[in-house]
Amino acid sequence: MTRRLGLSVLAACLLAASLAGCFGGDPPHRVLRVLASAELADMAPILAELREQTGVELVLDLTGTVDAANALTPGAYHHDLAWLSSDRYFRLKLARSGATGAPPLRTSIMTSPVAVGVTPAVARSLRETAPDHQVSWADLADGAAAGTLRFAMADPRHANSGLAALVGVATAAAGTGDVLRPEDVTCDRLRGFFAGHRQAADDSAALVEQFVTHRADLDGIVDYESALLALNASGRLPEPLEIIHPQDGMIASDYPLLLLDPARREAYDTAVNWLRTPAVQRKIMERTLRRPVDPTVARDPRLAVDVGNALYFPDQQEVIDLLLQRYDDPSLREPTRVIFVLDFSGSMRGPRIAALRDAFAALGGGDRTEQGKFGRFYVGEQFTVVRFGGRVLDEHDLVMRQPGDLDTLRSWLRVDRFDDGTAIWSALRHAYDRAAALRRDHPQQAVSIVLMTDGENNAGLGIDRVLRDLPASVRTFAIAYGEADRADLDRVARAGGGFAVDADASSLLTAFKEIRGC
Amino acid sequence: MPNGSTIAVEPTLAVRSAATPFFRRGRFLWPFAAALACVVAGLAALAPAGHLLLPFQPTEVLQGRMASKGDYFEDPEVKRLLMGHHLQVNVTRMGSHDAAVLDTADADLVFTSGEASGNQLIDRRQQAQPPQFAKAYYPFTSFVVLATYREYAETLSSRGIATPQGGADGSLYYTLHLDKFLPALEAPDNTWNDLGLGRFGLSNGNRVVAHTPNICSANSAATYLGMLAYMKNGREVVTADGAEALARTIQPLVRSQGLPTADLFQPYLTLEGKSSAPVVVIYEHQFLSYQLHQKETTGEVDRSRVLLYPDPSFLVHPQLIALNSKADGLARLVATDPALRNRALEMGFRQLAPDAATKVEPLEGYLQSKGVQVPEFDSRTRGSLPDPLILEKMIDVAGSCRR
Repeated sequence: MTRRLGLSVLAACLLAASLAGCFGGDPPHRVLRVLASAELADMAPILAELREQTGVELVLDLTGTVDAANALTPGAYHHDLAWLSSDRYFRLKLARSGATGAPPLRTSIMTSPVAVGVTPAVARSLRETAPDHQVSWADLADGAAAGTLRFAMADPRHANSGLAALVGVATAAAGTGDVLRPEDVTCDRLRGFFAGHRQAADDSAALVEQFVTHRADLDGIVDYESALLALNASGRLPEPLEIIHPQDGMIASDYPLLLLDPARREAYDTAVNWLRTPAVQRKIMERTLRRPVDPTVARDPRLAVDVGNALYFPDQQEVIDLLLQRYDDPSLREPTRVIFVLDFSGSMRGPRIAALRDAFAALGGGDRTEQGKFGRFYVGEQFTVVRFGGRVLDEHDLVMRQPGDLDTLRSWLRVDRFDDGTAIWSALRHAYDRAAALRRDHPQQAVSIVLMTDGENNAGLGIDRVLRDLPASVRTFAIAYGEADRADLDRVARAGGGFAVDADASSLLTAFKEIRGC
Repeated sequence: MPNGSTIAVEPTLAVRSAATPFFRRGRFLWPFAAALACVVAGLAALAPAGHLLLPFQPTEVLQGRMASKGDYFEDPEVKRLLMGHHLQVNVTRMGSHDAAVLDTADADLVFTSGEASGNQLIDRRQQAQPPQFAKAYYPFTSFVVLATYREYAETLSSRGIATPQGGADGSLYYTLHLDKFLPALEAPDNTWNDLGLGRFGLSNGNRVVAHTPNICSANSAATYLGMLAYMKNGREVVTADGAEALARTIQPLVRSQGLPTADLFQPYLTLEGKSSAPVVVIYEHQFLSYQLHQKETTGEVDRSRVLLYPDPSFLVHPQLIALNSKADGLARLVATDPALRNRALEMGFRQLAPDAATKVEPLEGYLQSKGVQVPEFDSRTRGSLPDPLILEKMIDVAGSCRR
């Protein structure tokens, strides 16, 4: 009996050993601490499978991507890995830190472009007005400036989706087709776009919550395509958003997994290899709606759409810093005041006044070029129009609350009363006084003066008097037209921190556009 | 029966048959047979993979640093062949320059994509006191080429900048006339739309650019810079005189792409590739390997993805550098073993004067045998890169590299 038992045990042991040899034992449990972008919280079920199948557990420490990159200091990492939606900001930071060693090993796991989700009604109207019905960043800026597109976008100082959107829209606004350079950021062409920016958050996931909470006051949200598709699938919206991939380009994120501690290489390789297997890639796509990096994985129909061309991401930290500084500037949230000082002397009669009226119609939204859409008057912007001849003829104030308000502004320019004299410097002085009063009442508000004249000063104050009393903090721009004295205008504009433009060299509209946003 | 008599009853002894050995008994036999079947099945699975006796022999694990040549050591078939020699290579990917110049204490071998970086490493090790082991092998070669999509190639073709090879529609290869491509890159604010991409059903307002990996660390990017420099220098090899000034004029052409991506080829194969980087500087073997695989798995090559062969052409010689004797054994094997050399061919690599004994057929013959179009070359129009030290200086200037 004992012997029989012994034999059975022996057979069972042999069988067990054989099976163990065939199927392997449980893999050892290894824990990797990962500094991760907040939106990767949605990877939890897949990471549970990773642990089950490989023994590698990724413990995610979630935060905004830009914050994460700022927390990563070469040589003083507090995590084994970092998993960011994009490591571009980190790479720029690394380059600027002067680090000369090998950058952390990186493996892209999945991708998702930044896109714009809008309500179907807004999508329809955007498409109707866009050339070829292909919506670009310029069309979105146009809608935001006109007040018809109010959107949520994450804070680019903390979140990659916000930073990618900011770089994208700024690159499109520069309109060079080239990578954004520091000089492209000097003039702020994004005020119209930001007029529509109503909600922000520190990361992409929090932004979605903000959008749902404030849905009644919003028309759209700028976020990862995956976040927008997931929101649509969640059933939390009465009707799904239409997802627009701006025709002129976008910036995609490729979710690299970075190895910060080389001693954890084996576990890192295990995790990366598992995450990149076709079956897992498919699972990631199905569950998170991010795009697989494995070209063999057949696409979910929602991800089969063309994402538009990638815009080039700056390779200089300086450009990003400038963009973020602009975003950080509280005056960006304050509507600006522009004081137009317009020459209505007799020489402006005829084609010149017609050109001026056309220019204002174009700036009010009539200019359908890309640059026109970025540079147009925007909701909240405040205007003062001073007409002058041999003296100040009249002065009007306007706050643009809706596109129809611009009809009022245009009506002021429709008057056909011209004066014989040209008191340029007296009119400018009048504008300075007005600006000083505005600054006193609203110290946060940016006030600029745009002086347009087609002649030489023949009445009122002399130029030296004006130059002597120049107020600080009010930028002055000048548009020289017809017989205007270019040198004098240039002197005054430069002294006022701005510049002069010759409208004869291009057109009055181009001259106005060159000044817009600077 | 009389009293007192006893009848002795013969004891009846049950005659038992001789004991069956335990190994022939059913209770043992069934479980054991199952176990045995399992073992046999395991062996059967291991045998064709060449792993049969591996559990009984130690495997040498080598640490290798390389860029795109990691494709070779990460190929399952190469891994299997090496395993047959009890060798395994763990690949750490990094740009060729980084692979060669960073501290190599934890590496057994470095596989640079070109010679310039490799030579620096060899010089450094030979000049060390005492000199350190460094032995270079050149197992195969490849051309630096530009991979793109049909619409972009046709756009270039419509402008006379590229010409399809073989004259037929659907050619996989185009000859890229660098003398005409250079002005298209240099024209200020010249976008793909300006070149007429719209005629082929696409729109792209981005400036005409070929995407490269980081010029400060990648050999393909360095070679591309060298290509442009050679053309700008009137098809003359750039010498020390004026090299930096020349690099400054090329800087906008290689930096317009903005922050470079580390890996360009994998994204190029995805659905989003055409959006993210429509023209990428890669090695010929990467593209051919992809097309051979497509042909094998689907029966057709992918005609939406095509290759631009620069004219003049730039051939690079990847350098497999052994940093110790065990790596030397591996490197020699890669360079001489017929099976490994054959696998390199199957992966689209070209081979320098194949050893007569190995009887490895040239790449053209292999492509032909697989029914994949053979690229054409005018072997007389080879471009030349400057001296490695001059090229390095140019890279530093054009890429504003920190060293």
